[in-house]
Amino acid sequence: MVFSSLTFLFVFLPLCLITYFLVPSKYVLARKYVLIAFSIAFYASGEPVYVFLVAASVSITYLFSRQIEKGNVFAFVAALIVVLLPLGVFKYFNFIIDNINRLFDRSISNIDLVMPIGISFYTFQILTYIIDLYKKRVKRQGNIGLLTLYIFFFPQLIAGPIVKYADIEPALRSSNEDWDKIKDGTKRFIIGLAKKVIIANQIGYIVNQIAATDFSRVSTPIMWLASVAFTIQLYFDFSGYSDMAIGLGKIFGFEFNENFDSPYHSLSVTDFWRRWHISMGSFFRDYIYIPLGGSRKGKLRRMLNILIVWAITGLWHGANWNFVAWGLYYAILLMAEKLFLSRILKKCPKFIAWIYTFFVTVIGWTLFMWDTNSLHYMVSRIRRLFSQTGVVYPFSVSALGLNANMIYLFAGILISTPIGKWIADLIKKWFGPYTKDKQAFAVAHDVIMIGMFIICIMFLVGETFNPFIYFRF
Amino acid sequence: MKTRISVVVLLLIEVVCLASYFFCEIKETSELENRTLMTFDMVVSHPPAEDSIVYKATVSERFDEALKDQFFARDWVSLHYVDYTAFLDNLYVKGKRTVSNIFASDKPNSNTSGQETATDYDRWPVYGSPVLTVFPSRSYTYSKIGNLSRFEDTDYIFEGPKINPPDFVQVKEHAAQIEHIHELFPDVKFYSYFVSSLNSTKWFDEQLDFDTPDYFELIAQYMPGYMRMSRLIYQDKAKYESMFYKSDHHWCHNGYMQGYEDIYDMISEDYQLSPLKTPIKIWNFSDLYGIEYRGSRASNLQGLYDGYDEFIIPEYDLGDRECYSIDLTTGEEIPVTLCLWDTYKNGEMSKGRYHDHYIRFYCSALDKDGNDYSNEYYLIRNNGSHTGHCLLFVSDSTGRAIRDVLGSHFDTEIYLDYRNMSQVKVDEIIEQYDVDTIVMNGYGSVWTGEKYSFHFTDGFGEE
Repeated sequence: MVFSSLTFLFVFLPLCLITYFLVPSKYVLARKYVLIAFSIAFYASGEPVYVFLVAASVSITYLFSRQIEKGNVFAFVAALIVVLLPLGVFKYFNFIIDNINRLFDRSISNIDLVMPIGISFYTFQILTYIIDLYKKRVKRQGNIGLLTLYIFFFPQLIAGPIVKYADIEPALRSSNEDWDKIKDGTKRFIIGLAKKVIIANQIGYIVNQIAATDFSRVSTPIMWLASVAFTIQLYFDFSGYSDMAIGLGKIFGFEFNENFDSPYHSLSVTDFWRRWHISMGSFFRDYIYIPLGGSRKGKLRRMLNILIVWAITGLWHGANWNFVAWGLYYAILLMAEKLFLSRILKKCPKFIAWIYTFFVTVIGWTLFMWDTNSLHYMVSRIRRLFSQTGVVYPFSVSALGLNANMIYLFAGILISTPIGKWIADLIKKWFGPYTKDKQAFAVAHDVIMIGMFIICIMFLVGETFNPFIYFRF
Repeated sequence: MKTRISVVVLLLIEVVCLASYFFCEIKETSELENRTLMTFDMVVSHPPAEDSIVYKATVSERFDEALKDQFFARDWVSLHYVDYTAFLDNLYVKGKRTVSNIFASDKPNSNTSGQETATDYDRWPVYGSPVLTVFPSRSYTYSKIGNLSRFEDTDYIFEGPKINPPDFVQVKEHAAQIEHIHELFPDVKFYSYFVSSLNSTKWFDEQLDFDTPDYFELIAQYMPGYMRMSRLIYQDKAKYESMFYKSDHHWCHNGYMQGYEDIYDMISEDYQLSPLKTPIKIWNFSDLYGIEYRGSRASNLQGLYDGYDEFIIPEYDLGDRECYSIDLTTGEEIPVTLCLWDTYKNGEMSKGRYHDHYIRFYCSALDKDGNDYSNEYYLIRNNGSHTGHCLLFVSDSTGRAIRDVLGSHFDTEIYLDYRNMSQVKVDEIIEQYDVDTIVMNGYGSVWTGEKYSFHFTDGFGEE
C-alpha cells in the first residue's frame, strides 16, 4: 500500500485515525499499540509473508539488546549479522552470483526471491538502534511493543526517513498530539501527496515513455529531456513521500527530522548531499565515515574513506553496477571538491556554481536511472547526452505523446530550482501588502490545501481512465 | 480559518467519499469507457480472469482498483481529466510555436552523423528515401479532443498527428519470411495491400516539424519483386472522410469497396477471376433502426464527443458456400455463420451508445447454438466456384469487411487474422489447403510488428 492510493486515503488512514483518537490520550501505551496494529496491517497488505521477516528482525534485536547494552561484543556482532543477513540475501545474493558467473564463467543458478519492501530502510533503522545501544548513546527499550513501533511505524517503514532511535524515543513514551500538530501534519501530508500525484507521477510518464522507446531513436535533446525529467521526478517523488511521512508522524505526535532541504538550490555537490536524503547522508556519516576515521587521519585516508562510503552508498541504492558507478561518480566529485574544486566554486558567481551542480547532478541521475550491469549500456546513455552519433529516426516530444506532460516538468523545474524561489520572492514583494491580514491569509492557505487534496483525488481517479478500444480486435 | 475547521473539512471529504461506496450503486460496466469495471465482489470472491481488462494480480491491487472504478463521481472526474489533458496538450502545441525549435534536431535530415553504417541504413534508410507525393502536403486545421484530434469542420476524429515510424529491421524479417514461403512453394503468388492511415500522409508535417517520407515505397524496397503491392489512396481530406468512419479506426464501406477493387485488379494482372462483384443491395441500418454508431475512437473519448456514424453495409451475392472456424489448438472445423446479417436485418442488434458495430457485424462467427468462434481462423468453401484457386487472406481487422466478397472469387479461402499468426504454421496451411494465392492486407503496422510474423514448421526466423 502506498500513501498515494485510494485504499490508504479512504480506508486505512481514516480507520487508523479514528481508532487512534478514540483511545483516550491518557492511555498512551494503548494508543501506541493501535499504531503497531495498523503498521503491521499496512506492511502485511503489500507483503503478507515478509511481515514475519521484519517481526523476526525486531524480535532478535530485542533478545540481543540486553547483552548489547552490557557491552557484549559477541551479542553486538551477532545481532549485526542476523539483522544484515536478510538484506544480503534478498538484495545482494543474486547480484553476487551473477558476478561470480560472469567472472569465472560459471552457471550457478539464481534464487527466485522477491525483495521485501523497505528492507534497506528498516534494516538501517535497526542498525542505528543496535550500534547506538552498544555505544551507550541510547538506553535499551524494554518494551518489545515500542521497539516494534520504532521499526514498524508505517509512515517511515517503506521509504524512510531513516529515523534514529534516539530521535524518536521521547515520542514513543508519550502522547504529544494536539490540534496544531494535527493541522500542520495534515498540511504537510497534502503537500507531499500533491508533489507525488500531481507532479512526480505526471513527469514519470515522460521518463517511462522515453525509457520504453527504442534507444536507437532517442536523440540528444530527448535524452536530456529524459535525464532532466528523471531528476525532477525523483525529487518530487521522494521528497513528496518524505513530506507525507513527516506529516503523518506529526499527526501521531512524532517529529521526524527533515529529509530534504531544497537540494536543487545547491551550489556544490558537497552542499547537494547535505540537502538530499539527509537521513541517509547522516547515517553514512555517523555510522561508516566517522568510524572509518572521517577526515581525521590525513588527506589520503580521507579520500579512501569517501571512496568506501560512496561505493557502499551506491550499493545500498540497488544491486546493480550502475549504482556502484553512480556512487563512485559522486566519490570522485566530492574528492575533487575537497581537494580544490570547492575553492574555485566559492569564487565563482553563484549562478555558475548552481549550473555546475545541477549539471553534474543530472549526469549522476542519468547513471542512476537505468538499472543495468552493462558498462556499455551506461556509457551509451551518457554519451547520448552529448552526441547523436548512431541515432536513427529520432522521436520528438509530440511523437512520443508527451505534450500534455511537459507543463508538469516546467512546473517541477520552477518549483524545485532557485527560479521558483526568485518568482516566489517577486510574488511576495507584489502581494506583500495583501498578506498583512493574517486571518485572510490563513483562510486562503487552508482553502488551497483542501483544493489540492480534492485535485489529488481527481488525479488518482482520473488517471485510471482506461477506455477499452480494441476489445477483441 | 480556525485551526480545526480545515482538518474537519478534510475529514468530511474523506467520510463522504468513503460513505459513497456504501450508498452508491455498484456499476459493473462503464458505458463511457466501454469496459468492465472492477467491483468489490471481484476483489476476493470472483477475481477477474488474466485476460480481463481489469485484471490485477493481488487483492490489495484489486481493492484499490475497485475504489477507483466505483468512485461516486468517476464519470465526471474522468471527463474533466481528459478535457484538462487535452487543454494542456493544446497549450504545449501553441507554446512550441513561440519557443522556437527546441527540438529541431529531431528532424532526421538535421542528423547526418550516424547514418553511414549499414545497420543504420537498415533501420532508417534516409539516403534515397522516396519523397511522398501521393499524399502531398496540405494544411488542415484540427484541434485536440481528449488524447485524439478532430477536424473541426467535419467532426472527424483521428489518432495523432504523430510520426509513425516503421521498424525496418522487422520489415526485412517480413521480407525474408515471404522469401521463405516462396522457396517452399514457388508457385504461390503474393499480393499485399496497404490501408494507408492519416499518419502516413504529409498533411501534418508542419505541426510535427517533420518531413514524412513515403513509407509504402520504403517498405516496398525491401520486398521481393514477385510480390505485387498496392495501397489505398485518397487525394484530400474529403476523400479520406468518405472512406473512413468519423468515430472509428476502421475503413467504412467506401474505403473497403475501393480496397476490394484494388486487390481484385492486382490479382487480375496474373490470372482470370470471376467478374468483379457489385453490391446487390446497400443496407443503411441507421435508416432502418436509427443506429447512431459510435466507434472505438468515440468510446475512447467517453462523452467528450457527440459525433456518430451511419452504419452502411453492402450486400453481395456470395453464392452457395460453407464457412468453418478452425480451432487454433485442435484444428477442428466448426461450421459457423460469418457476419451478423440476420441479427441486423431482423433489428436484433445491440443499440448501446458505444457498441462497435463494425466489429460486432464483421468479426462474429456463430455456430448454430450461438457460440462465438471469431477468434480462430476461417475456412470458406465456395461450392459454386470452380476456378481451381485457393486464397490465403492474411489481414488485420480491416480485411474482415472484404473477406467474403474477395474470397468468393476462389474455390476455397482461408482467412487468417494477423493477431493469430503466432498460433499457426503458415506452410502447414498452404500445404493442407493447396493455397496458390496469398493476399496480405492491413495498416502499415502489420509489416512492422514482430507479433505479426509468419511462423514455419522448420522454425525459420525463430531463434
